[in-house]
Amino acid sequence: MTQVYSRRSKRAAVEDRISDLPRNVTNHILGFLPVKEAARTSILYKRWRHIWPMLPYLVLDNRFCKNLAGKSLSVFKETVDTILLQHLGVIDKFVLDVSGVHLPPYENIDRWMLYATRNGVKDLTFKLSIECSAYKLPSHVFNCLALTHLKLFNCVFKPPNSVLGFHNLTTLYLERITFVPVEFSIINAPLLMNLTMRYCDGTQHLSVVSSWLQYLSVFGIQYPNLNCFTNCNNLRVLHLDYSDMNYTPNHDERSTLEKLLFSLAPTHELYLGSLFLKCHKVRTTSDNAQAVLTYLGTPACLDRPLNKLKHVIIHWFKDSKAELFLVKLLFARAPYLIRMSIEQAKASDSKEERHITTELMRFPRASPKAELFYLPSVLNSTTPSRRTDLHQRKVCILRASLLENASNSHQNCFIYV
Amino acid sequence: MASTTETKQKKMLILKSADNDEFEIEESVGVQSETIKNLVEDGFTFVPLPNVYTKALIKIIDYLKKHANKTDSNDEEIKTFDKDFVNTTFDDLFELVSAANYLHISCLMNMLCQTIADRIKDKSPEAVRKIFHINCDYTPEEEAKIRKANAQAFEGQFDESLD
Repeated sequence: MTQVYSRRSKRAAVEDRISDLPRNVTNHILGFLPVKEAARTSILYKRWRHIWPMLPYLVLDNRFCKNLAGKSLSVFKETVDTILLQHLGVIDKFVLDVSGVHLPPYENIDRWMLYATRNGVKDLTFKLSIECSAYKLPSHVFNCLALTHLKLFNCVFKPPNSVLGFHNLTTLYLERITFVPVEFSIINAPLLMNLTMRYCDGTQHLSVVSSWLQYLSVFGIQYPNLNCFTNCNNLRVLHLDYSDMNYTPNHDERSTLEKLLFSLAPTHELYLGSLFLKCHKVRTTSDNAQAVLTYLGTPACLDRPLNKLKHVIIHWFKDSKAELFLVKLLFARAPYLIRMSIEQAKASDSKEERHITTELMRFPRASPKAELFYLPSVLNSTTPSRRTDLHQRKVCILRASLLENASNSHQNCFIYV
Repeated sequence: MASTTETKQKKMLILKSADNDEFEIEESVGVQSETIKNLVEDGFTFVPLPNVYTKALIKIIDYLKKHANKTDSNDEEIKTFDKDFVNTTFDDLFELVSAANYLHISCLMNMLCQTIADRIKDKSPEAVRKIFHINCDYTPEEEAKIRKANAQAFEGQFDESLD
């Protein structure tokens, strides 16, 4: 096969690196630059004069906003106005992070949001400091059809009507959002796959309609209201946690959680904060620890084997009797267990550690493949990477029965197949 | 169906660079590139790459091999590999980025573009021009006018180095 390839002269290529690169590559590179640096490229040479204003990404990050607002609020507002005025064409991504700026009233933001939504924004992020009063989301955000990713901090949802239609939305992240109920509102997002809600208020009258929802994460101070998710039955990953130690969920709330757990699709990852385990444990009264121990000791506490459980991670292991029992139980009842990772809550000396590991190793294991990993205590900073790690894997089902078996220890369980 | 995928995994591909060098790689390694994947789906096992030179192709094959064997345990190892991979001259980076773009390897594209962006981030326009081998075609008056229009962008200290 004699085919002559058109070979560029290397010297010609060296003369001008940029003309050599296709437009999508230069856009890609500039997309990673903060807006100030990207704006500077217009001075490089004439051909690039209009590349920056036509970039489909506008990322006004925290550093940028804080810097300008540090000079004066009017400089900041003027500069953002100028940037938007110079911009040509569509905006795929618009990030406005004013979390370092104190700037109510919000007329300017309304205008900038309008500009972004009018230009077909697909990926919208808006961050506002929690010290500022919440920003009331203008109605054009609800009507923005192009949106696929929406990330909001400290806003008020007061929709013009009771149905919020996000027809193309796949990822929704809401932190400190207040829903002002119109009796009963519905978030209709048929394509939504990932939903995170952190510290949101007013969700009791909310319903999320999305048959594709796979990833759901709800964190809050109070026991999360799960009623709005009862229509989601394709969940694969479920993270739940709350921090009010004194709250005891009532019967309805407990049964909603159980319903949700039972509706989970066959492969999933389950993350439950320690307080869940606490609330859903057996009815114990005064002598908590003793009752849990007795309960864990009875054969009825986990009668079915956990056939699908393959991986267990326990954080903040404190070497309490209840925790040891839980581990023993999981070892005994999970015939396909592959890996049991236990992370220490705090560093202990080698003698103590040897003692714990000997103890752990003695437990009989139903699964011949089960490996035990005993990890020294890790700082919280390693958690995020671990989490992404987990998302990439296939994960498991564990029925509500485990909730009842879990002890009162201060631990979080990652359980997945 | 399962048996066909198994034999498929062992199938080999030949990649031919713009300098006419040939490289044999496993199909499962090659299909991380969308361009190669499309050709494989059309039944090709010989893939000429007229836009990718040998030097870049060797590095990219290394990258693909490393990332094809990604498991949970070698996460750190891959991170170190990636870090070394982009620790090179601008000329190499540009060569690699156009190759990655042609081959449609999105994770590699992201990594390279991010690296280039990070490395030109705090540089002065003069330094960036030298890095990109650009001859400025503005007259001094025009340049001053643009600087004035975007005054905010030209404030502060710049880095004049070229690496």
